[in-house]
Amino acid sequence: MSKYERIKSSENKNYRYRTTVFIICLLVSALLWLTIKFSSDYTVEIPYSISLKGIPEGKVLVNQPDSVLRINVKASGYALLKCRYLSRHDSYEVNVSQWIGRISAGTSDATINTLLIAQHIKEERSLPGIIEFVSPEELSLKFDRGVSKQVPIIPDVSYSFAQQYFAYDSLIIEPQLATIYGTTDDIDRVHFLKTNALKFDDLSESIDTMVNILNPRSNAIVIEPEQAWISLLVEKFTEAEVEVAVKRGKGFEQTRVKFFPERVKVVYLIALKDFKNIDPEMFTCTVNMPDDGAPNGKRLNVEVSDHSSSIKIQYVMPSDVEYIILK
Amino acid sequence: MLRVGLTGGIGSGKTLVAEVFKSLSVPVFNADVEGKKLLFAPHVKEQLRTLFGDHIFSCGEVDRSILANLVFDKPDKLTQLNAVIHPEVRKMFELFAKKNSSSPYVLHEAAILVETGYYKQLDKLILVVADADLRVDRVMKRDNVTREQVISRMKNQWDDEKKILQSDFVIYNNADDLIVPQVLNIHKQLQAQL
Repeated sequence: MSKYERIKSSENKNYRYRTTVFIICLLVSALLWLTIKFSSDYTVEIPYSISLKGIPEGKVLVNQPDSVLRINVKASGYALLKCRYLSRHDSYEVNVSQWIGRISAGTSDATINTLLIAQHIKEERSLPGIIEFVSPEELSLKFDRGVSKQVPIIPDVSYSFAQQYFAYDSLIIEPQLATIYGTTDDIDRVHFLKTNALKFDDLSESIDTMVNILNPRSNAIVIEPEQAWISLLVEKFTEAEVEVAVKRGKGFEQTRVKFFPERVKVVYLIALKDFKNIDPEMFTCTVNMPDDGAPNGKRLNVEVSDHSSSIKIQYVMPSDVEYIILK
Repeated sequence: MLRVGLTGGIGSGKTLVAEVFKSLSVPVFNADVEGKKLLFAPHVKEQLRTLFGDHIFSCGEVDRSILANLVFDKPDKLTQLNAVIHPEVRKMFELFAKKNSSSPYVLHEAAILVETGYYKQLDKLILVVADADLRVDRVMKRDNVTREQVISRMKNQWDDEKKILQSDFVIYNNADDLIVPQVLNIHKQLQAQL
């Protein structure tokens, strides 16, 4: 090592030593500064979003009170730091009945002192220090007489089927009725409830799903339940036909009559799973006498008056028959 | 007693017309049904065996599908078959007419009464007519056959225009026509002729 290199190395060691001592001193002074700062008292605002529950029976809330409660607390920096980062201060449910007591019948207003709520939150959530003030100072609640009624739920569902697939039964919504709560004015305007719009294309499987019920008066009414089940049985169908004797219907009960032809062909769609269970006896084709008592020879429509609910009649051939009233 | 022929092309609706006559207590002889029964008669079977051989038999009885294929589109074979069957059917009709001699008239329902010339031996002839397209549709739905098969069968029968000239009564059986009033009218006229 040359003389120059030795001098250079010695200077570097000196520099690193001085730098280390400086950093340690800086950290110690910063720690001391923070300790002094955190031991001082501060006032901070802690917001809580609030939701109202426990509306008195027979009442409905008709105004929209503040939804955020801002609690200003004074506490040491340490306590606030702990509160800020280690305690939860999300939402808080305000039980209205607990805070306002009994409300007489008819329209009435009520106020809740938010300081009381804040103190409850402080105890429940172990907030440090003292509460300096709460914003808003009170919650103003306006009630009206609440009424309820049951209305039908109408499913807003549109669907199309894949080839050969059809509905095995009608669309079912469960429950069929919902109870709505609100003011007389709001309730009187609601006659039915609709669900969220659902659309299904090329269905080849059954539908079984939960759907939200739409509130037609924004949030002015309460709907119970808020959701309904919608189900639609979908099956694969096939076309089949059966020959059925034409029977006397309304107006021909006391008459000897002969139809031409005496048997008609009924073409129908049947779910594959039911195909083997079909019997011609399941079909009844009848001809009814028109009210004006048509003379011999007039053509009368053949009606498939009875058949299994799982069968979809396509057409009857012929669709009408002639007849002779026998003496 | 009158012996009345009832004829019409395939799908014209002559069986339905025959049903209306039956409801009026008119005895109806169905040549097609009786002809099929004849295939079980020993003397007819022997004649057919001589004409067409043993291969038309299945389990000792005439196999109608083999026989139909054999004569289809072969006028000479069809003539031979008709030569055996038709005289026998006519004999049966004569017996049928004798048996129902108390009736004012009896009907002989057959598809080719005019073509065979048998109508000349009957007292009256009723023809059932319908538009060709309608007849094709009816047979396609009734027998589950193709349009071509129906048209092929129709070719073996005379046109309605030709048969109308030989007929005493014509029943129109198109979509808008009512059969019952036409039958009642003919029934009335036939009874009046006695």
